[in-house]
Amino acid sequence: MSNENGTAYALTTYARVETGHEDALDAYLAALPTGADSPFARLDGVHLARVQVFRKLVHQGPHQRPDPLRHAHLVVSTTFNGGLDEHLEALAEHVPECDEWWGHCVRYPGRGDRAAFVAYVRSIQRRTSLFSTPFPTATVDDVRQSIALRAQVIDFAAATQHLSADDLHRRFLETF
Amino acid sequence: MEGRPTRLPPRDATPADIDLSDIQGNVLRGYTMPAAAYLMLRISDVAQATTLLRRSLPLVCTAETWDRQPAAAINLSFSYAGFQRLGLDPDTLASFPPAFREGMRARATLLGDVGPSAPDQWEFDEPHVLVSVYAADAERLEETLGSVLVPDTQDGVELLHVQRAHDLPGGKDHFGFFDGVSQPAIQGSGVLSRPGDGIRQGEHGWREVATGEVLLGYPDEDRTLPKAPHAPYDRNGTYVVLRKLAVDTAAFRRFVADAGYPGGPEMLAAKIVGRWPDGTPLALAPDGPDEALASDPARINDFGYADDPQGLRCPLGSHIRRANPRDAPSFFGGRLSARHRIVRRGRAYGDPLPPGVLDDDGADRGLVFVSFQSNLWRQFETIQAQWINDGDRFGLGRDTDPLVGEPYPGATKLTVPGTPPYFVTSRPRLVTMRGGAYLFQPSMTALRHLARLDG
Repeated sequence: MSNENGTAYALTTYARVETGHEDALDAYLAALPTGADSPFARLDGVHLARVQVFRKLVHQGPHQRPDPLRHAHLVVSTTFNGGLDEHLEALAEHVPECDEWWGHCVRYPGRGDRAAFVAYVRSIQRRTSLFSTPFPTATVDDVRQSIALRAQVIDFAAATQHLSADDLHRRFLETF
Repeated sequence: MEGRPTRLPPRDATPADIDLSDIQGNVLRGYTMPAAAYLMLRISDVAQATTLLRRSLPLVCTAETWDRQPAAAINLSFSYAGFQRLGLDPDTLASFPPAFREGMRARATLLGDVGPSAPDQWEFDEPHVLVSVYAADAERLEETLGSVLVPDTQDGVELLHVQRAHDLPGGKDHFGFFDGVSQPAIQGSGVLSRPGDGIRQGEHGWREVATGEVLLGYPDEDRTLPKAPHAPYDRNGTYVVLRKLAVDTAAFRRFVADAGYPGGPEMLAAKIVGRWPDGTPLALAPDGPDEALASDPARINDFGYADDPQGLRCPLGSHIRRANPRDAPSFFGGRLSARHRIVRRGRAYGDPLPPGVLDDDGADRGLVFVSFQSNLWRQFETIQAQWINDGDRFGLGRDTDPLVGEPYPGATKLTVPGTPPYFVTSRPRLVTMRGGAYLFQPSMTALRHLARLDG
């Protein structure tokens, strides 16, 4: 598998959490806003993002070999349009929260030195082993426009379901 | 007082593979006693409450097979706050899962309990103890209530709320639909299952749900032991969901009457529920109720959705299809549904609105929803939050369950698939949450431990 699927890119990073920082990091992440107030909402091309602490790996049954972690890890994963360098620059520029979550991890250099920041994130990047996306070539704007169009079509269908064929045709041309 | 209609008699007994004498009975048995009450208690004095618990133990009914139905039965469960009050050690308390520790109030937003259903509108605070009382009639019920809480004694408990419940005529709910048809058959439980009770296996067969989906200490559908708290709570216990749900029968009747659905109000009501009022499933009889089918215990629940991928017979968003998608496409032939089954033991409360009445009479009526499961999040909360109160899993956008879902702004549309489809919009609120709790129902061994009777 690859980090890229169509025009989308999946960034997956694992950073070792400083011993003793796990609870503080969890508490910080739990208080982060989501939705329109999410730090990632400031970046135009992000489809989705997830920031979480892995303290142990899920054991899914006897067929899986138990895989204990010696240290907790911070997992940051994002799916976005465009190239990785531009995404990392945008993260450094618009998401100061990076300093909070990666600040609990070993050897994080901060955002002040952009080259060091980019090198750090690249150093903790892992190849995405399963990258599935329903719209591999659609940008975030494409998806938003499609959702809006879907809502418009549904509203139109609900509002016109009692019309005759001629009236429906006329209303369709007026609306779309 | 009527019990269940005779056309759907209790399931027959069969030899059990698990220790029924250690399991509280209502998990595996429907009891079919027409009168019930739910006592919600807070513990004010631990020593006295423990004495009360010891006194109540002989009344607790196990899952053992009855030679003759008793006149009354009780079952006991405890909230996390109740376990804290009873002094469970910190390690044992911490071994319970987050959803149980946090309690239902803290998870209200996730569950869609907002607006008029929000916790600040609830009728009762979280109980420490839930005493479920079942009886053959109203008189026996009151006798049993009196024997549990003896007036003028120092029992060390405060009665927060008592909710009486009863079977409605014909086994129907307040919407007028025959209810309680579908239950998961539990492996080894000593109950002979009917077609449709379990999980679809092959084209015409069914198998029982793994014991560990409902009872701790047994393998679940993943063939592993469900995560369990420390002993003695790790075996033969289960988690309980209790929700008092007020039903607006008049609003439902007006909604289906005014919607303008070409098939008429009764068919729209059936499309909303997924069954006709007599229990006939739309999946088998989409054009009208079938008395012979609805009267046949072997057929009334023997159906799936694999052959109805577009919901032309039973809409994708109908209540029963959301609550149990069975073998619907995208549910992996039923394997996904199998991880989200719950045992339902709900009962109606309040008197039914007379037939034909379209104006609310102000009476309090609804359902005391009770379910049992071994994992609150994976089972009840997933059904409630992701299947009832969201449409995404069914390709329905934000639309919620048209019968019991929260009517979020922009999520009140029901699509009835067809050529052309029909859209029903502006669904009103039909169900309002009045209070609830997450509880744990221990094994008899654990109950004796709590009562300090295990030496």
